Amino acid sequence: MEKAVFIDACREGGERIESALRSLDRAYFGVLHRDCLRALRDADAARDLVQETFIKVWQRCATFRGESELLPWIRSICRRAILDRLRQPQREVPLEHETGMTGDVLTRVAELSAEQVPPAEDSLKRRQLAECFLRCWEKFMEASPEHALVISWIAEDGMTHEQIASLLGRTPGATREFISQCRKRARVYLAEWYSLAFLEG
Amino acid sequence: MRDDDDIWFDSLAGSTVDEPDKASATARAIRAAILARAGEEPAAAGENLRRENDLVARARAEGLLPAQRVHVKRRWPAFLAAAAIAGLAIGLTLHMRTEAPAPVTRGSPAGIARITDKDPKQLQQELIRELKAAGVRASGYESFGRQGVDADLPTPLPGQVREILARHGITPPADNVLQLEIEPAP
Repeated sequence: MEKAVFIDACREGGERIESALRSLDRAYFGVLHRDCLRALRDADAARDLVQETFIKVWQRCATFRGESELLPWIRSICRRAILDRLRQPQREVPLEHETGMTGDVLTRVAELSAEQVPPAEDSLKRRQLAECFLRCWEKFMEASPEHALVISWIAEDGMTHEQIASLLGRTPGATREFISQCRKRARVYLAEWYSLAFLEG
Repeated sequence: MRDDDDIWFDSLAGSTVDEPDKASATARAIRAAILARAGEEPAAAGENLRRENDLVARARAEGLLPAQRVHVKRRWPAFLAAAAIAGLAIGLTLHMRTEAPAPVTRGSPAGIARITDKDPKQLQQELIRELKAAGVRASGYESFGRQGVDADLPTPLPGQVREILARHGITPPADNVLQLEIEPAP
């Protein structure tokens, strides 16, 4: 969807919003639904959240100045909505109680992490690694969705500290602490994958 | 001074390449796995009219869009009710007609005289022919299976015309405007 069309529709309002909403849905539903589905793991809830995002987009359309592209702006609204939704029921598991991993295991993970990522030697190994990663990631998402999501957003979009701080509504210092927590939690939940990726390489 | 968390973050975001550090290596591995996973996930279909309509309805419910205009449409229930009343009226009328004793002629509140005959069509044509022969402008019609005759009778009513009407059992209309319907005899 063109930025100019969006801005005009926002300015004029009324029935123009209807056609603009339809355009938004056609253009961005797929990508937003994938983001939401990844976070919520429920197709209907994801669909609902995308619609909620589009409604919020129009409620806040006057704040879109057009300096950035439309999708990143909409995506940031969507991600705030995702975080809000995840925070409603307190699903997060405290790190201290989560996997029962011993200090020895964590030490071993840390040692394994010191290795370079080996190139996957064949397709079977790559597939095993990918499946293991998805399995571990599922557990990560289940136990600590906010941390897992922020990691995936950093990887996919190259988010900066400032953007994450804005998204989370935290101070720069608190954001740094949050990112440090992300790293620690990843190390715990991706331990099996780490061992497969680094040890057997 | 960058610490391990900074290196890990930068590598995860893809902003550093090949940094020989354990934090960087794990972050790059995570990044590669996440990007590989993202590439394999199918996106939902782009266009879906039902989904769009749901969205628009939700926007209206939220007050984002003006309330939908209500289009005045012919309402079938009302239409059917009117049709039922009309049908009942016609049915009653027909019922009343069939129960009328033949061949008595009588005036109706609507000013239409009715008679019965075994062959209404033939009687209609005969009447029209006789009235025209007497100098009266007469025309015939058919309505709901009944044969009708309309005629403007002269004033005063000529004897010949009076005799035609009497022969067929028709009472002369008070206003000299003949409206006659011939129903089949039971």
